[in-house]
Amino acid sequence: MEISTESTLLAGAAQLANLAIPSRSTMPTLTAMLLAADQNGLTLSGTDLDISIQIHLPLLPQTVTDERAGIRLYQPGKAMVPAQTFVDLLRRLPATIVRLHTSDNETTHLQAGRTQAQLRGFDPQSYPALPTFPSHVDFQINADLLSSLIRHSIYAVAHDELRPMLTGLYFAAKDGQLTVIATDSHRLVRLTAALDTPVSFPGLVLPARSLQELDRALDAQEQVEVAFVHNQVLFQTPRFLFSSRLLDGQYPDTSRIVPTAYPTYVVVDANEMGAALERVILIARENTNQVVRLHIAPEQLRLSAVSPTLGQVEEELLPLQFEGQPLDLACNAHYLAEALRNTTAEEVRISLTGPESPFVLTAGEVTQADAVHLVLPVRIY
Amino acid sequence: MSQWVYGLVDMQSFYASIEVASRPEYALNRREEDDRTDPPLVVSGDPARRSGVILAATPEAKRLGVQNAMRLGEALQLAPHLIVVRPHMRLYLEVSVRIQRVIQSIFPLVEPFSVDEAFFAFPYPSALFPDPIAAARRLKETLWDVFRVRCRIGMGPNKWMAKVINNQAKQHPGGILWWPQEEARAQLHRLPVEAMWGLRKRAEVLKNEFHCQTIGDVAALPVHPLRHRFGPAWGTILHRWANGEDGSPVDARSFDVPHKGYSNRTTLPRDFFDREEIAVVILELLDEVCYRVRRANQQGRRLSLSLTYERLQGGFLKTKTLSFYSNDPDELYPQALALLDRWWEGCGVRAVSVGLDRLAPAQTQQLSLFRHTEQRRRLLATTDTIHERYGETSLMRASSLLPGSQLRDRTLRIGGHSA
Repeated sequence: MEISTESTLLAGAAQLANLAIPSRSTMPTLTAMLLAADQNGLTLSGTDLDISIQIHLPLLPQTVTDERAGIRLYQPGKAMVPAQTFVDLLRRLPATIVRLHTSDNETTHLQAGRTQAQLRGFDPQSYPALPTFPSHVDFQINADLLSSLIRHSIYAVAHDELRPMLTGLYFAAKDGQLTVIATDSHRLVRLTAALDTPVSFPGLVLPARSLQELDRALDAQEQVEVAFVHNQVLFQTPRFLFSSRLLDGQYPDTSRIVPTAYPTYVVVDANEMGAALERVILIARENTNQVVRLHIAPEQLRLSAVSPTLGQVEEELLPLQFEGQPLDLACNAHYLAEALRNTTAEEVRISLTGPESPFVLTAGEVTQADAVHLVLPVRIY
Repeated sequence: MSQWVYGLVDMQSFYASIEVASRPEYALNRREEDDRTDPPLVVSGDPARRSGVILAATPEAKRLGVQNAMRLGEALQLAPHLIVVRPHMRLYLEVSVRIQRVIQSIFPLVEPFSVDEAFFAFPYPSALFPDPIAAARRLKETLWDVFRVRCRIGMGPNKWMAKVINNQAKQHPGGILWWPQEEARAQLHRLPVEAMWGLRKRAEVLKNEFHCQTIGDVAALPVHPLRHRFGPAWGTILHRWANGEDGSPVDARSFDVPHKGYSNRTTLPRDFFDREEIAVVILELLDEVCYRVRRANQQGRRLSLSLTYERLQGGFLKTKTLSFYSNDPDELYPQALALLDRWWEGCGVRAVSVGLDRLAPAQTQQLSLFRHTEQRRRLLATTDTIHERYGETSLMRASSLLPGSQLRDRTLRIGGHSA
């Protein structure tokens, strides 16, 4: 293999591919990055066997002189380089032309300005097979929207490896309506978004960690093509192909969890409530279930917390709207704060059915919300 | 000015002595000052099986080579005429409580330390205690007269020294040894490093890495290298102990303080190799631990599992801190199994222990979308009541009918041995 390209372009691509590469592994080849050059361009790949990322850099047309637009191919072929060192080295190069060529199966020479380096890798033949995007596309989505769906739901997944399904995000679509659900059994997020085409697919569960890495790789403007193949999901953009295994198992039925009618609701200023909660958490985090008590009434919303060792705190807010019966309940302050933050609205509506039933946070304006953040209270004996 | 003298009294071959004392055929010949007048008797976990473990042996049995924790079969090879009796745990506990009361009647401050040990303290010189040796002898004679149990007493300027001196009293005729304040340090410094109580493997490090032969050598070390090697807490403690300093008080209420955690342990009748069998035992112990935690109106978030391997040698203790508080075995059991699967190497298992700590009052409960927490709570409260009223075996898990189950055996026992 022999190619040349611009150093910042290559560094950016290598950094992306490195997202999937483990720093340590029982399979040493996985700590390396695969470079493959052919008539289509250069592909940089990394995988930890759970996820994989393949970054594509196109071939420069003969007429173009701006080296930042792609690569020049002198000799097609493959190479494997130690990923972290390769990335670190590229990032420390000034903006210049980098030339890579392999001398034998395991050695890659890097030349850039006055820099000469030889990187010892592995035989490219030993690299695991990487997935290819199938001929069908299950749905298309704007990267910006996908990223927002991931970011505002991932907080609610479980971290307990004994409930593996709850460590993932549930994706399903019906007639072009995409639903994303996350829950750790104490709280639940349900986000919905309209897709461009009226697609439907049954529920699939994607590991939260994979989606975190995908989110880092996404660029707001691009369109993402998504396809499900066997136990894998693939995301394709013009720049990269990302794959992840799906979680295998039955996601719990959440269809009847979100109440459909609420006798009581209150609307509050989200910033005001967020700031008050931050202060309440200082005390609440010291008690068993990080309990904050809520007193919800027409003329006030009172938050309070008690810690046997630290003392107590009380905050009062003025509701912007109120309807129904006054209500007292208790919940985990941290859960409430995260739900509030991820509602991302200036005015948040808290809808309740009773002191020991789930309550939901939605953006203040809408009644039929496309983002529901549900929290289960704490029972006090 | 009067100072305080701290003492530790330690019963000799406690279980075995009670067995001998309660048998008229041996009682008449016994003399306090000569333990050769005792028969060679052992208390063994399960006399019906040769795999039982020796829990206690009289000095005469020990002279024949028998040791505690040895298997009965092995002991019988060494001494075929050994008298073997099964344990009577309830009796030992009753005697222990009565002995503690006798000690309390003699000394102003007493702290029960184990079933057969107690710390005590008294002011000296004082009108009541003009002579510490005489006071200790009074205790020793009373324990012999009332219970026909021999004891050993060590006295010194603090609790830790009392423990060390008690061990030294073994070589002392009469079994009573007192080091007055003035000479205690010099006496301590003459002892080998191994005589420092409570060090475990740290004694080896002191010998091999610091080249200390005697406690005096340790005392001569500056505190910094000790803190560097053993950490700030242990480094400081080692330095203080070696200099004969220990500030811990005799705490008469030590047995009354709230529990920091609960754990239950059982020794198995044979080595268990089958995961399913071990799992049954873990669940039964967890049920018991959770019951005690519920009765204290607490919940815990750190679970521990300990396995002891064949011949009671080797094994592990591992803990897992959870993201939630619980006292419900159904929630904790998968976590205990995860500990088992992560750390058990498949060796034969002879003892299992399950514990729950990091406790907090069970005043709040996070509700769950997929668990009926309130129904679970009511169910557990109901089964607790049934167990209390009709006994533990009146309502059992079906898994307690499986071969590995220890539950029905265990309810007949105290501390793992027959009541």
